[in-house]
Parts: sequence; C-alpha cells; structure tokens
Amino acid sequence: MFGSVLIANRGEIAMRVARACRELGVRSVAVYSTEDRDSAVVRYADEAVHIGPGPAKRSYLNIAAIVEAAKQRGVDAVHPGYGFLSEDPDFAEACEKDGLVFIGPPPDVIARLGDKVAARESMHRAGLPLLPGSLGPVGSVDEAHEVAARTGFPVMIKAAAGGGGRGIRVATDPESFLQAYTAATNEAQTLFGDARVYIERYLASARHVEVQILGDRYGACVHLGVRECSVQRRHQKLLEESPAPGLGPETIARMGEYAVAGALAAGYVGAGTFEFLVDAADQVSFMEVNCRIQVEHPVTELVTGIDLVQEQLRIADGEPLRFRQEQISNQGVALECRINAEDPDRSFVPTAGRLDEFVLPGGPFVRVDTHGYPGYRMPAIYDPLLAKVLSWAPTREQAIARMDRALEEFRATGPGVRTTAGFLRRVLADEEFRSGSYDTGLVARLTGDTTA
Amino acid sequence: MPVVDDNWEDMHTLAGVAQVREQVVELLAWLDRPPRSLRVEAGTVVFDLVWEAEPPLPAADRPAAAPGPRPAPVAETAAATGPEADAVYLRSPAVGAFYDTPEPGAEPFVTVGTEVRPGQQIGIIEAMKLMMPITADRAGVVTAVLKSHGEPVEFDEPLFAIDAAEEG
Repeated sequence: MFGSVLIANRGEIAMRVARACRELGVRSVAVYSTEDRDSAVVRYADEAVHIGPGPAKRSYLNIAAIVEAAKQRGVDAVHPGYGFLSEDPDFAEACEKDGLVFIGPPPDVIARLGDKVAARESMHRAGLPLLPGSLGPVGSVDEAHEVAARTGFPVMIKAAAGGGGRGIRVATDPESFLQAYTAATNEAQTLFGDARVYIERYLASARHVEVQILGDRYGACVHLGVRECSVQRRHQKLLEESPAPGLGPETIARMGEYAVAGALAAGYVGAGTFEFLVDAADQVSFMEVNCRIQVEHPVTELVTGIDLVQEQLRIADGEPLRFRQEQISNQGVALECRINAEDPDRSFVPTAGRLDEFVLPGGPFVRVDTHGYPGYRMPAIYDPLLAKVLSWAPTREQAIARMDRALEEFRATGPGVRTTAGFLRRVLADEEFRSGSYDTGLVARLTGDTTA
Repeated sequence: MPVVDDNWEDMHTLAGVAQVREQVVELLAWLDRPPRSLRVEAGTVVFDLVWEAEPPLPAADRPAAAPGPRPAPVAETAAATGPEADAVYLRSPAVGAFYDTPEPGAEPFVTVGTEVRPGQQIGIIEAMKLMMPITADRAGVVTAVLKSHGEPVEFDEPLFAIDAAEEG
C-alpha cells in the first residue's frame, strides 16, 4: 500500500479520502487554498500544504501547485476526489510524468470517456444501447437539424466536452431548433472551449439510473448495483437511493452487464460510474461514464458493505480486485440526501456564512459525510454542498422514515445560513417519491420550476 | 528569602515583593516564549510584555488540534516597538522551490541590507520547471532572508522581511 497520498480536493470528499487513508495506515497530505485554511481536512490530515489563494483556478485547479506540493511532501499517489481535476487527462498525465500514481483511470481512458461523443461511439461498439440521435458530433447546423428531424422532436443538444448535466439545451420543435442549437454551441465554447455538440432524443419522463463499477489493472471488473438519481434540480442531484425502486432484478442485472462490458472495452481501471436513462417501458439507454468517485458513492457502500475509496487505493496500488461478481450482494435500501447551503425559498440561492450551530444526526444506520463543524465559516466561492446524510434500512419505507428522522435532527444555523434539509423532507413526504415511481420531473413539480 | 527583621514595614514590603516575584515567575512559565521585555507594577497591577516578531512555525511543526479557527499566525503579532516594527513580510506567490540567485553559482539577487524598490526582482519560485519571479512590492531594506536556496515553500509563506523606507 502507498506510504502517502496527496488529496487534491477539498470539503467533504477530502475528509472522506483522508479517513480511508487513516484506516489503511497511509499518510495523508491535504492541500488547501487560503479560503480553506480553517477547513476540517487541514487539521485531520497528517500534513497540509497551502497551495494558493481562494479562486479554484489558482488552487484546486492549479496543476503545477498540486504536483509541486506532492513532490515537496514526497507522496506516492494523488487522489483527485470528484470535480476539479478528477477528470482532467492533463492532470493525470502530469502526475504520472512526475512519478506519482494517479488514483483513477489512465489519462487516455479519461480523455476518451470525457469526450462524450467519443464515449458514445465506444459504448455503441461495445454493444450498449444508446438513445437515438447522432453518433458523432454534428458538423453543421444543417446536419444537426437533419439529425434532429430524423430522431424526432423534442431533442437534446449536448456538448461533447460537457457532462454532469452541463452544456445541455432542449429543442422542443423544428421552429425553436436553430435558437437552441446556437445557444448550445456558444455555451459549449464558453464553458468547455469546445463547441462540438451531438444530438439525442429528449425523454421528458425518464429515470436517471447509474451503475457503480470497479475494475483492476488486470482485466477484472465487477458492478456493485445501481443508484437511482432522478431527484434532480436543473440536472443537479439532490437525493439518491439504492436499489432503483421499481426496477426489476433482470433489468438491473442487464445494466450491470452493460456497464462491465463498457468498462472492459474502454480499458477502465478504478472506480467508475455508468449512467443510463430508463424510460417508462424500462428501456435502458447509455448516457455517459463518470471516471471518478462520485458524490453519491456512500449509497453503494451502505448496501454492499464495500469501502469504495479503499478499493480505489488498492486498485491504484496494483492489487487485483478482491471480489468476484458472485461475492457482491446488495442488502436493504440506502438513501442519501445532499444538504446544500442554499435557500429553497429564494430559488436555492447559495448562503455562505458561519455555522454557529451544527448538529449532526446519529443513531442506528445513519451516516453523515461532512467537512462542517460548529464555528466553521462556509466559503462563498465553492460549491454549496455542506453535508451528505445517509440512512439504511431493510426496506425502502423504513429507510425513508429513518432519513426523515435524521433530517429532523440535523441543524445548521448561523447568520444568513439556510440549508436544503427542510426541502428534502418535503421530497421524502411526496406521494410520488414514496411510491417509488418518480422521474427527473419530480423536483421541478415541487418547486414549480419551469426552466428545468 | 525575606529577612526577619524588627522593622514591620520592611517585612511587609519584602513579603509583597516576594508575592509579585512569584506571580511573575508563574506568568513567564505560562508563556509560549519569553518576551523581550517585561514591566511589572504592583499598585493597581500592570503587566506589560513586549515580544520580538518571529516567522510562523514551519508546516511540519503545526500542532494537531480539534477543528476550529486557526490561531493567528505569530507574524501578525509583530512587536509594538523596535526596529522590527516597520518590517513587512514578502510572501511566496506560489508553492514551489525558492531560489535566491538568478542562476546556479551567480550572486544572490539581494542580501540582508540590500535596498530594494517596488518591482525589483529579488528571487525566483520554481514550480514544475516554470520560473516565477519574486518581486518587491515596496521600497525598503531587506532585513531578513527567511528561506535558503532550493528550499521548498508553500503559497503565502514569508520569504523576506523588508523594512519599509521612511516617509520622505
């Protein structure tokens, strides 16, 4: 096992990785920006390096600073967390060039799967079903229009360099297509520096279900079940659960097989997630691959008993996978609620500020992943995720009741501080959510959001 | 040791002095580091301690602590009096290796006592083969070079102490 690992991230995921290191006896080195000098991981990790000022471009996205810090402290490996540089092939390559093990897939795999068009082509060749649309990028507005017409409106126009719900526009009919296409290509250029887009049929009523996989360096790959992630606001997940309610075991097994086949075809190493859309008839379509540990990974950990971050470290260290597919089982139901420092009553505007009171739920089968603590001052310049609250129970009904109990115990107050905990309890109480038959339209319905 | 004496007043004064001395010894033992000067008055009590400014502890020596705000870096509690009062730290613009010479074997950009003007290059930070100049941000005299050639530094770490020039 590595002697030491540098955690190239912040917030709750940095704490998560630091804890895995602690449990494995690995020396942890945190990096922090000036804004994060009082962050929990700075104290928790064995060492910490101040790498830059607050703005992410000069700190958590600063490849030179992070690689320098890694070399200064003599670490063996770098864990990129999620977001930031976790899916940046240049960062993965810079680490490897300097003799650091990058805890994730090889750089060329990241590059290929990060290009959503190239990923679609690879997965299509591997036999995964895709949504109707263009296979490659559309070369011109005329070609795009033609593909859209052939696919059938409404269609989604998606950035090839996008992902995670960003860089997506919907064209509802041929008349509005040109405007949507122009907006999509401009946005893609601005956000990602790459104006290429592709076309996909738009499913108004769909479920976002993803598969967690683990693959080692030696060609072994397993899936760890699915996560239902349809509780989303403007393409950002708020609540996830496993298993996907209402999805039959055959469908889940089939999705698992697709994901494993796709991972092997891509040469995937490490922990990854294959995202699918499932329509009303339980038809499954590949969406994209996420080449990193995900925010909602604890949901899978709770139903499988497997520590995904520890497995990431083991795989990166060259160990073979420690379990075969038959040895992986899913027990019970797990839910995760993402508590953001946002005000649901004011369009979810982020509310940074000092946590005067920060009380976490506990008790049976409740887990909390957070970097917060009483007195912590939440920075305004990073994403507003404050805490992940999870519950597990033998049945979905019990897991929901347990989560509601936990959210009631949760308290985060301070001057100007608001969180989404109360809103999430509304989701838990919603009839459609409780029935298990819900899709990506649920939150928009609850908030009356017509832009989603 | 107070001297037993027929003079009651002297004995009383000596006992008082002994008490004050005890308090002072206790106070000094309680402090992290000794002050440069200490003044004690006994009537309506006054303690007055002055420390010399000191660079913050290197990262490896930071004490582990429960989550909470960090104590203010020692450098910010600079001495109220004395020549160091006007010293300002020039801090590293990046994480990397500090170099005090323009190239290996050359004379250092500056040494203690060198006068600098704003914009003058006084060092280099190297990160991943990229050389970044360190430039003085004010006019003054270099009073300390806190890192040695090739030493790894973090972002914002003090590198030089520069005594600001007097107002003309």
